[in-house]
Amino acid sequence: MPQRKDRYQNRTELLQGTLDMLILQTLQWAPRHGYALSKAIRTNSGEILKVDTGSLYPALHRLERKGWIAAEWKASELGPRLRVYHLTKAGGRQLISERSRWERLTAAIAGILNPAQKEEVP
Amino acid sequence: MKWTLRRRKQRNAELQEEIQAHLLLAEREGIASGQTEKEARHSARREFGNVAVAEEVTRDMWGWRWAADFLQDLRYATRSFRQHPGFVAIALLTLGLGTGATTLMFSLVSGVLLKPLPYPEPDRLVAVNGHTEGWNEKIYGEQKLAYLDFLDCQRDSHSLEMAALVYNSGTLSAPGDPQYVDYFEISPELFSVLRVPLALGRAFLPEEDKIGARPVAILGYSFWQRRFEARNNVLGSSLVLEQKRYTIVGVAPAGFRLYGDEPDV
Repeated sequence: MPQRKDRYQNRTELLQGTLDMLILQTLQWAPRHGYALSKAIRTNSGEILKVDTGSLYPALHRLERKGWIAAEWKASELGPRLRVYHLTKAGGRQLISERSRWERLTAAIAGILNPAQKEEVP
Repeated sequence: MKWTLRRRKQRNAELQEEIQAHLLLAEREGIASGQTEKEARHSARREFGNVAVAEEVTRDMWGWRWAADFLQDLRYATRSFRQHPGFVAIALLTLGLGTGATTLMFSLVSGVLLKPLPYPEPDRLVAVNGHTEGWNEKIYGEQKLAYLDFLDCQRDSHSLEMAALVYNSGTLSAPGDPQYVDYFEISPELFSVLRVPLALGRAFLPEEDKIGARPVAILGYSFWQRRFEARNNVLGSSLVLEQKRYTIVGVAPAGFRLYGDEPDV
């Protein structure tokens, strides 16, 4: 039981601003609808990142408005038609810039957390 | 606006459809993993959170909220105007007078201070200055082009008609009492390039620009009026400027300015 609780707490809240990057990155490989997208992010993060659906759809519509992703309705064998999103060219460029920003950020934080390592390097 | 509202309604319906599909998919998966239909529906809902809030926040992302808000403000404004017609009248009057006064001031200032170049077709004139590395324009002003450089430019330029001028000042010693005057040394083309006709006489001739040619001068209109009492027979007479004798060949038109000032000679 404590394990389950830990696990639940470990489903960390997404860091502000990273959701956009995760959406763009996940759409890079294949177009997906909202539900598949949230599942993919959860699965690919080893069940640690849980996308709050209340922020997923606002984010999708915001990205669509910025022209980084585009959507179209597709019929599905399950019954209802699904709104499937795919990455646009501008979205690809945005992903690259967000990734490099993210890498700079994590490198900077790592530098603060492990200052000793850095000093050892002459 | 009607189009926007209809489009908005359609998007609203689509958003609901999108979210319902999400819930349905989550529910199906719950059933597939062994939950009962009821459990699955509940957990799907729980997972999703507040549907109404999610819809609301998503709608904000469309960027139409301002349109809806603006419409509401407009309706409110119309209502309150109808209730206070006196206030509206005074506000309109104030705005109208304010705008009128500002416009008047601007026309005055633009006419008096921001006057365009006082030549015909000012938009087809350009000024050419020299530039050498190390020359500080803030201290020394625009750098001048050497006259020989100007002649080279003039010869090689096909799209520009060029004329040169340089400001100078000195003592005019004859006729009459000596006087300190502002004058410009100009190339023969200046008046034709500026498209300005002379008031009297003629502009300089190209051969008068050659070394050793007879020195000639053109009088400024005001100077001509002051010093020569606007006599027509000044043409052909002579003046002495910086101890050099010049023959007067023309008079510039009234109000002719170079760099904002009317030169004497």
